[in-house]
Amino acid sequence: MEQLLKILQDLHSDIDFDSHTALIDDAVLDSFDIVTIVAEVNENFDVQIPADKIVPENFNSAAALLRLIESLDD
Amino acid sequence: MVFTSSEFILFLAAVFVLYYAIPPKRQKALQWKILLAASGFFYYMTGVSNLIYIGVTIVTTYSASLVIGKLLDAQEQFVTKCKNTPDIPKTETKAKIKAYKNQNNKKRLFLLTVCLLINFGLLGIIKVNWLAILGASFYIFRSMSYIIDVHRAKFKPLGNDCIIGGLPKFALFVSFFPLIMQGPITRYNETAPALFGGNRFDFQKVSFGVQRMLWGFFKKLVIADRLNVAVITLCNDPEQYGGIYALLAMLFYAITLYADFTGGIDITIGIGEALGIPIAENFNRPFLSRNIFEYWRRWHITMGTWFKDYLFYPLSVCKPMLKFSGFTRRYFGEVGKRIPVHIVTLVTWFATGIWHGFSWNFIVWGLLNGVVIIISTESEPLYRRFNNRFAFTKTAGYACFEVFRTFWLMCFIRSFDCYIGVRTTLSVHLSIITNFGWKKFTTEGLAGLGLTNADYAIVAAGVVALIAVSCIKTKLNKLKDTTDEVIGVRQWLSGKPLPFRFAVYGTLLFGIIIFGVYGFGYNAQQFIYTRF
Repeated sequence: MEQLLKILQDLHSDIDFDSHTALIDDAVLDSFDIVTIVAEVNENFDVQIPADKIVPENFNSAAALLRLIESLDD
Repeated sequence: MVFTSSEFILFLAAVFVLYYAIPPKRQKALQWKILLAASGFFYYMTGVSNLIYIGVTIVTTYSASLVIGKLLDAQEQFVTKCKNTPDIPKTETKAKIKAYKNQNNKKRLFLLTVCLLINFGLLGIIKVNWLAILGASFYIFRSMSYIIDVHRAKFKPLGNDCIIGGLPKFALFVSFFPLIMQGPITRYNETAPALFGGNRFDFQKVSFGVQRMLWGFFKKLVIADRLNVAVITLCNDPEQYGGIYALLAMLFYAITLYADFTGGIDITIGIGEALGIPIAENFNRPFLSRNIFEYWRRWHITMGTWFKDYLFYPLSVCKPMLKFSGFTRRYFGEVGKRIPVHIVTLVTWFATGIWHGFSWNFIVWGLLNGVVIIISTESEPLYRRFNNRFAFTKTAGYACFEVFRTFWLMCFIRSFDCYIGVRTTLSVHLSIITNFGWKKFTTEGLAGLGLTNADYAIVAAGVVALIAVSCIKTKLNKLKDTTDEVIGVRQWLSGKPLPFRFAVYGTLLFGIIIFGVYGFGYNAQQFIYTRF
């Protein structure tokens, strides 16, 4: 989780990613951020997030994103 | 048959009567068939050859998605069967499933690619030859989103349980008459439940739907069709109307396009609402955007999300692009991280340009959007530092400045699609600096553009009404969290005293009847976006 939070903090240092649960719905993350996150996850976790998994439910919170990474890693 | 023609009003009335005349028990079985017949008739009226093109899209997409659905079913059954066989070691089962999935995926991808090639090829032929196949850009995009979503196992395809029975339902999804000419580009899983579920007559929904349609007619007939005369005069003679008149052309085109396109969408969404079928919103007060990112989240929303979901994301996260991303970040550091995204942004905007039309105008328009987005992304740290350094950037006045700046930036970019060619557009831009023509403007003013003073006054009143409605909506929704459902102006109005409400409805209705551009000898003007 720490590694993921660091990736997110690098994008937006002013957001508390630990508690935010509407990152997409509140337009905190835009498409540029999402693609950057996917590339970072690929680089740091060696997990490839496919395009069909890029839906608000998977990117609305750090916890949801972590669940996605874990499920793909499985 | 244009939405604003008298034939369409009669047609719509007939559809409504038939649609709600069906007894509640039979509504689910029959209402969609009425809509299919109505859509077939509506599209037939636009030209017989159009039916052939849409027929190809319907048949190819339906059959390919059906086979893709069957392959997915077979895969699901195989996985369940493997997992329920206890005597095989887990690792062996996993390897077996992986091999099967790979093979299955290859077959599905092949079918999907063939279907995409046929339909985008068809769209390419239509665009390159400027064929007047109305609504092709919209219904092909709607169909392709359907088959990609079936491939992604987002939902089961129509006809999965009954091959013959699914085809007419799919035909309705593709050709639903309010959506066919200029969108919105709806998604199957969002529209289907209400489209095929049967809808009981609900007075409030019908009343809200009719109000929304009236608002659309007002925008189109009172503002867009009137001001369009001046836009045509200004843009067809750039030699005479350069300098300040070029700025006027951009301003008038912004108002006309907004009133025309959002008016058409209001009519579409209003028809849907009155039929009990919710249709995705396509606009969210775009001219109040403070930057280009926000603008494209609020203007032609369903086209933007289509390109994002089916082109931008798949291209950005595909294996070769991730490899390339690894390469650029190793060699170019922080900047390198962003290079692949910028390249995909340009490709996406190039495609968006081509979608609007196969000409340099639209290609330059698309690429210019991409370039401005890239520059804005790269300048973001600078903006952030500037905003943190100066307190005035938090004031309402600065917000207004940002709205004004974005409005004019988009006006300049948009001007590429209203002048005849790229060179003409650039020379018009240049004339604003080299030959502003203030003297000509003070002597001639707005006379000679085809509108009378009364026309300008009506347009001005209409624009005030547009701004007032946008401000009411903004104020209503400021009180709520952004994640809450948006409160509409009609909802707000329904809570007001009866005399006030009827005064508003009456003004709107008589405004259209008295000031609308229509009547004997008048040809209903097609909507601007139907040419895309």
